[in-house]
Amino acid sequence: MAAVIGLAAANYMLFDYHPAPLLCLAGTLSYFCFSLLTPRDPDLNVDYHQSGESSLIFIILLALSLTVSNNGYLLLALSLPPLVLIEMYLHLIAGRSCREQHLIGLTHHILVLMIVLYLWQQDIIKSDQLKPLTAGYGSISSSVYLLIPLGLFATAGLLLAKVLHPEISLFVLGSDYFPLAGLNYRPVRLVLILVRSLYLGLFFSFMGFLGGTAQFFFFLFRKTNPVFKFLSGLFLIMIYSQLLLMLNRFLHYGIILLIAMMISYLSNYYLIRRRNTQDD
Amino acid sequence: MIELKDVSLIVSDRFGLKNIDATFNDGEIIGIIGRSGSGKSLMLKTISSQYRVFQGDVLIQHRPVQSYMTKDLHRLIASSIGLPRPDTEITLQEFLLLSRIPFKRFLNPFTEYDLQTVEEEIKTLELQEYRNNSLESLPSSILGKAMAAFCLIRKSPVLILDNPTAEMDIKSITLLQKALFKHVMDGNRIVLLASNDLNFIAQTADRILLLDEGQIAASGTADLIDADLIRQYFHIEVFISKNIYNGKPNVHFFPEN
Repeated sequence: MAAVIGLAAANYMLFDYHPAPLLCLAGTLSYFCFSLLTPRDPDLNVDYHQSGESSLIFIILLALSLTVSNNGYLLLALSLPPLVLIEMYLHLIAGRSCREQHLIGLTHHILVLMIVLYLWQQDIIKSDQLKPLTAGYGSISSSVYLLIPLGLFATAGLLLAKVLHPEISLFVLGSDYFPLAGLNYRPVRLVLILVRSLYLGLFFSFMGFLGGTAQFFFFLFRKTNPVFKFLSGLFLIMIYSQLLLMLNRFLHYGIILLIAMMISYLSNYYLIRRRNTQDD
Repeated sequence: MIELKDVSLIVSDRFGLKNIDATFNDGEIIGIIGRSGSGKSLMLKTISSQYRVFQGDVLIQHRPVQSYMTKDLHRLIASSIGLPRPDTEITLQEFLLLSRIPFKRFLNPFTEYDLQTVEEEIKTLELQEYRNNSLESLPSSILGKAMAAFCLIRKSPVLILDNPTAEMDIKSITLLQKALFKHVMDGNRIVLLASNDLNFIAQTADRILLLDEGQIAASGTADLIDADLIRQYFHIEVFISKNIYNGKPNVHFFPEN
């Protein structure tokens, strides 16, 4: 914890970065809701790294921030429809198995890699313009006030997850069990995909790709109790994002993006190894 | 009370069930036996409304089964569902509590009665040491008991179990048998069991139905099971003895079979 506080303080004092621990807290809360609201269902996997949504939303955010705005709400609103579409495609049409999702995710990552390299070569990412940076750092870093609605949204998600816990658990057991609650499986599945897209869009729009990719830390603790999972995830996310912010001062934004992507790949590989029984 | 009136069901261009007429009374344990493909599971699925398109009438408490809302139907009938996904991480206790969800008000927590019911069945089926284990970590024999407990916990007027002893060891079968007797003790509930385990059915059921090619070929008390009947419908030679405690038949298979 001392390391995190030290890094955060150094970042804040030396480079005038916005208070990243708060940013991480908001993002972590939001991701925590996301993981509680769409839990452990192999057909509706919360592991976005596996299906490459992180890369896909990065492309969307980058395109939007370059052409439209760096306003978090606008980015969220505009990125939501394509995100919902790809989620529906992955979970209802194509991605029936984790292996397929992984292949689609890999394609997304390669695409992102090519785009980042191209933009870097063209000096678009190297420049210190605020707009393209939004896709990497998120719009939350440009305004601390955005933390308040994000916090409220996360709290609402937490309450919802708490209250609907039995129904969500029943949903996870599968379509044979879900009618016990007197609800239809398919519409609820669709609602969960929408909720999942909303939260995914939310934390990527506000936290950016660097903050977003840090969320894989949750999966290291996915079988522990929720409080420990939340605190451990938060701690590792803070270290991760502070280190990336610190590195960014000495290296280039493009390289930091590549590092984040590489870590995303490695975490993906690690998670698949750990869950090899589920993936095959 | 459950009434089946001239029920027929076509599956894959042939009769899965044909002209079934039967009445099951409260307080009874009904055992359904027959060869594989004889229509045992189909009959249970038709009663539990998993098959909704059929000819004839299935009445539960004098109302057609199709007229019940989904949630009401699950309050009325607890039927065995397929095993939950093996990678679900919820604990056994959480899983069992979910059986009470048809009685839970939306957005409200489970009641004290729900928790007590779960505790009671955990104790009855001796699942205490596994209560905090995740479902994915349970051995299949324990999972079989858990599935039976899941249905018993509902305390529904109709309990339907399809091949409940398939994964169970001998002690689990005995515990299940006791739990079923207890379940119908107050005379307000019906248990329908389909099984390939003839001894379990003979020792447990008050009344036995033998299905053959979708039709009721024979029905009666446990004494229905004799060597001739088994030869005729199962094409196998057996020796039948009587259980010294209750006089019910015990089926012995010859190794040369």
